[in-house]
Amino acid sequence: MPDVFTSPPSSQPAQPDSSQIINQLTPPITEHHIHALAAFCQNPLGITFATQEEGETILLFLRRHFITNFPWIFISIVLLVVPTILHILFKTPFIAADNLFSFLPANFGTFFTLFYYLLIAMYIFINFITWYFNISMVTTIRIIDIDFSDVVYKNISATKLDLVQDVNYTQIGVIPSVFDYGDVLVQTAGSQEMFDFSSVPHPQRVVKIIEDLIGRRDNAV
Amino acid sequence: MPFDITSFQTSQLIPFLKAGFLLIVGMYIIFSLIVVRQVFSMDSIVKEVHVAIVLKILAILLTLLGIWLFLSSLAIL
Repeated sequence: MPDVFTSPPSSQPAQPDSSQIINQLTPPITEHHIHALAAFCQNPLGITFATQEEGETILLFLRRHFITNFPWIFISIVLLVVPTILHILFKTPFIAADNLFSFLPANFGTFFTLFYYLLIAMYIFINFITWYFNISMVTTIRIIDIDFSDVVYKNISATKLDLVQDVNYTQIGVIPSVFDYGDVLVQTAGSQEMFDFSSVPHPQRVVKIIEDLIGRRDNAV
Repeated sequence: MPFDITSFQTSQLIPFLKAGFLLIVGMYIIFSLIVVRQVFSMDSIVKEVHVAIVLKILAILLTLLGIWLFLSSLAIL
């Protein structure tokens, strides 16, 4: 029997999945080489993390603003200068002592001084790595927050972008306003309800980037 | 025999000072070893190509300096 009607071959492409839609919506990415003291980097190059999945790229790399390191840098400088000041003071005629460690044998003074500077070096190093390893990342799939403090505390938490419900930021005080940093709060529907990116630079941009990602997800689904 | 404060000399304190100093440096070494371990473990979590090696070297250097200080104060003091 001859065919009365034959449907033309389907010219419509297959329904794209959500990741394809996201890729289409995403503008061309400019990747940036991250420098050692970077606190904000969009599409960073040269960074990977242990649980990174295939095809997962880091969109945003965040640390606390470098200015938040000022207190410990100031304390370190004072501590470094203190022995010199004491030495000068003890050399003055107002204080009747030739040396700070005059009551001890000569070697003791040398070793105490060496150890003092070693402690300061360790103090600086610990504060630096505490800042350096406190990282927050936004990838194409999830949000990762790595908390590292007091050397012995380490907490790594992650949530999928699908679970992000709300994102906002707070910027309180003169210094955060001047240097443009603040706390970004990400509310999720996951086991960890709140992600806190403390004192990150350009919080408004961070919020916008995450909102855009959530929006695209919502549109894609 | 009661303790006579007038006969006390600062030189009597030196062995205690030495022991205390060695104890504190020993504690520093243990602490710095923990720091080395943390730096290495964090490096396996997030890899940043340029700085990671510098931090590792610094952490090891701080520990080695502590060990050197401990050994030399043990020998010299």
